[in-house]
Amino acid sequence: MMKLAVLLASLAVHAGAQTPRFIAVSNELSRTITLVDAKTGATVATIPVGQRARGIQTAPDGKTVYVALSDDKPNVASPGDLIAAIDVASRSVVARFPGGSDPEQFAVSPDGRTLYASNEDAGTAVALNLRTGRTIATLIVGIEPEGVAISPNGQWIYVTAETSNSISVIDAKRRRVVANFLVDSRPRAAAWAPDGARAYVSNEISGTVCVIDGRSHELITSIPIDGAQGKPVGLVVAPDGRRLYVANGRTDRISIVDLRTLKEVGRIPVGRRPWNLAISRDGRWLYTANGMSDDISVVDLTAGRTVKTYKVGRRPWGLSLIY
Amino acid sequence: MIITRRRFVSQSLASLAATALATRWAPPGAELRVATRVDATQPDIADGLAFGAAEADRSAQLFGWRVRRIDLSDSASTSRNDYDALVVGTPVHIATYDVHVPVLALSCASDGSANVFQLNSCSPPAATDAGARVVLWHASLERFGAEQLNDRYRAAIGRAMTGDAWLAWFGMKVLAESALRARSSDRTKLLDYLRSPSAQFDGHKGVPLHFDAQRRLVQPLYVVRGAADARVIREIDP
Repeated sequence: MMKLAVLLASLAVHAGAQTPRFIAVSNELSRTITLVDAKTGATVATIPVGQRARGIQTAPDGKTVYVALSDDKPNVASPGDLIAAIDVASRSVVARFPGGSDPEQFAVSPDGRTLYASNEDAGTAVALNLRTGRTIATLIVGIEPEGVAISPNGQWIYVTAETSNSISVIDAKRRRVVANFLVDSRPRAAAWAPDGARAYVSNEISGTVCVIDGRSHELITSIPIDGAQGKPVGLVVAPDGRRLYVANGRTDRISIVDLRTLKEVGRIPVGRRPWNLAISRDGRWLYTANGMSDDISVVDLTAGRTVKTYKVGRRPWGLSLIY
Repeated sequence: MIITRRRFVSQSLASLAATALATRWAPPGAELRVATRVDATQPDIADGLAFGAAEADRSAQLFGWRVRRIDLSDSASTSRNDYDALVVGTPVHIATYDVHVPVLALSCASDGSANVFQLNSCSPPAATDAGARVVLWHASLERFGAEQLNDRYRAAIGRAMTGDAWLAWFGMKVLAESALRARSSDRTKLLDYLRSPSAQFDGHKGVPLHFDAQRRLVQPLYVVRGAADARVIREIDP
């Protein structure tokens, strides 16, 4: 009973924490996950995963980090293409699930039961039961799918497709694609507003972010990013839903978009070639994975500048926060 | 399996809703008919067209559309009303076709009609590097989805994607995307879309590609050096 009480208290502390304990970083070239102490920047663990590590997400309970792994064989599903589950406490890979061919990005349902992953070279998305480890659906989406984002209520999953310039909408209950719509050129990532009313899609080639009506699944408008000169990739919405932060890849900075006016209102330099990013629960700290400088930037959004840089593995692709 | 009335109604409503959502982009039976003409000396263009048509149809099906390729190379009797647009590898003399149909020209021999859009780069700069050449595309390109495109092409065709193959693939992509964005395969609407200043296309070259006022595709080129182990050594901005 005592143990249970301690556990519940611990969970309550972590659930309520506003700043992360750790930052988990996927390193595509070094094929590792770096676990970074969020306060000190010290590397507390380097976890080998054996394959190219890209998409990374923390489970809703904060105990597990999932990583999309793929091998170097294009267009062929192989044992190297999988989703690995890393136990945060033991800092080791504790499970490997089939992730379809060449899994890249994925999203975990709010209840932690289902994982949806895009399969870049197969043009599909898979739904994976995280309890049984079995694939429960394989769905046809656009060509060269990448970004996967799930609505806050868990009902809708958006999958971007870079060649088709499309978003496929998956209904989680029916496990089928119920709509497709076009966006701008080369959509990479998607993110939902906290209230689920809107979603946002980055478009790398057109240098824009598309604003999507999250209920009708229709394009509302496009916002030019970084003077349409940036290469928007990762994006994240602030917890209060007021601002959107966009990783601009080639221009080595992030853009800040005011979601009331739908205008870009600022830019902050970070490391080289930021691809993906994460934000703390209190909305103060933003973290970027910088693919070409092998580090992550810590941005103080109150001060509006990068305040720390932490070295990680080679070619960091993405990151996820652990509380 | 016995389907209950409630389940049947539920499934039917769900199917209808899904169809309604999917087909907002397309009238029933929407189809883009793309006629193509190549000659026997253009195998890479023929392969690129086959690959491009398959990918264009794959993308179009997401929206309830189909893309159908009509090969004119050996069917001279095809009526001008049998297709909505043309992709032509051979010299373009528009009198052979129709002044109202969009024509994407892959060769540089064109009569310059207002409905002809030139995809090839017909006056490329000379390569100043020793032993180098300027190309439209190369199998060693990796960024902005080039590696994925090269991989898909090699898996489908069994050879590396050349500049000619890229041209043909891109031509099919441009037409399918124009029809989807114009929500029509009507020739006039396709021409209007292709001529509009806002029309931009992703050819996996890292920048939006568009047609200039003379309907020539504005695109980056690549300086390549080497033979069997050839690599891109420099990009030439459009």
